[in-house]
Amino acid sequence: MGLVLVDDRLLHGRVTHGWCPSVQPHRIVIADDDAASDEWQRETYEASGPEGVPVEVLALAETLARVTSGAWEEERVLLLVRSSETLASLVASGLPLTRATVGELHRASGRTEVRPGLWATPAELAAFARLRGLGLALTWQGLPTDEPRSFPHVPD
Amino acid sequence: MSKAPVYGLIVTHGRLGEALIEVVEHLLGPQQRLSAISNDGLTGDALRARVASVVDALDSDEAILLFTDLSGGSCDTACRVTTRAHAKCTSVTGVNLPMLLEFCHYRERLSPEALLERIVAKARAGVSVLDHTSGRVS
Repeated sequence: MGLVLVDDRLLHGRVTHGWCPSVQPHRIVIADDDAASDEWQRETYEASGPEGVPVEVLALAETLARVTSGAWEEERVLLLVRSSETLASLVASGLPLTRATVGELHRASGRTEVRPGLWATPAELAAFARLRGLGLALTWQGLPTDEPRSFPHVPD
Repeated sequence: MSKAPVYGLIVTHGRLGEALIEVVEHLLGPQQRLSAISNDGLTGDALRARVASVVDALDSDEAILLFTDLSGGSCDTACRVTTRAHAKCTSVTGVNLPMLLEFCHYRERLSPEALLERIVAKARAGVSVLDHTSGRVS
């Protein structure tokens, strides 16, 4: 796995133009039950990647099945999930990961601003805590050129 | 044509859409049925809902053209998904000033299809290079 990014816009300009030139993924995988079950979202995302990089929009179960079968073993994959809850569910179901990056999490209903410009619901924060408990290193980084910051920040 | 002219909704990063409208109005005077949405601080879902709310507020027979700045960006994704769900919508990427000026000039005179063809050609023609050595413009 090349980079695992938690970002509520999934595939967007900062991923295509910011992250992809640095990560140089062989494949972009969006693991999201909602997007995978909606034909229009799926087709839109599949057509939105950088030139020459295939984009797949997969349900969580299918994502796990591909990883388990070793389908991407030889590849650098950029994996996108929209929330920490999705990622925690993937990891709890056996996705082998040691680190993940938090990209953009915007203001939305139920979310509070946990760091300047970074928003999360209590359930999302709990999921981040679970991920850390499972041994994942989490950093918050909007672009590869930004300084990676630890996340979630635990106040003194 | 008695129908209302095509509505223009510009969906962009930052304040780009707002600034484009400001410049268009500086050049042409005040415009009706032209507005902008920024993706600033919005989740992908929230941006999509905001685009859909403008589309839903129009009558079902009113055509709407969605302009976005960057193919594959969050604005483009939101507009493409909205376009698939609404027959009256079309979305176009790579918005620039020539494209918008042409849109405002011709939207009351042309069918939506002819208008689209015209503004895309104008946007492409708006990119030209002057070579220093040869003095030629291409």
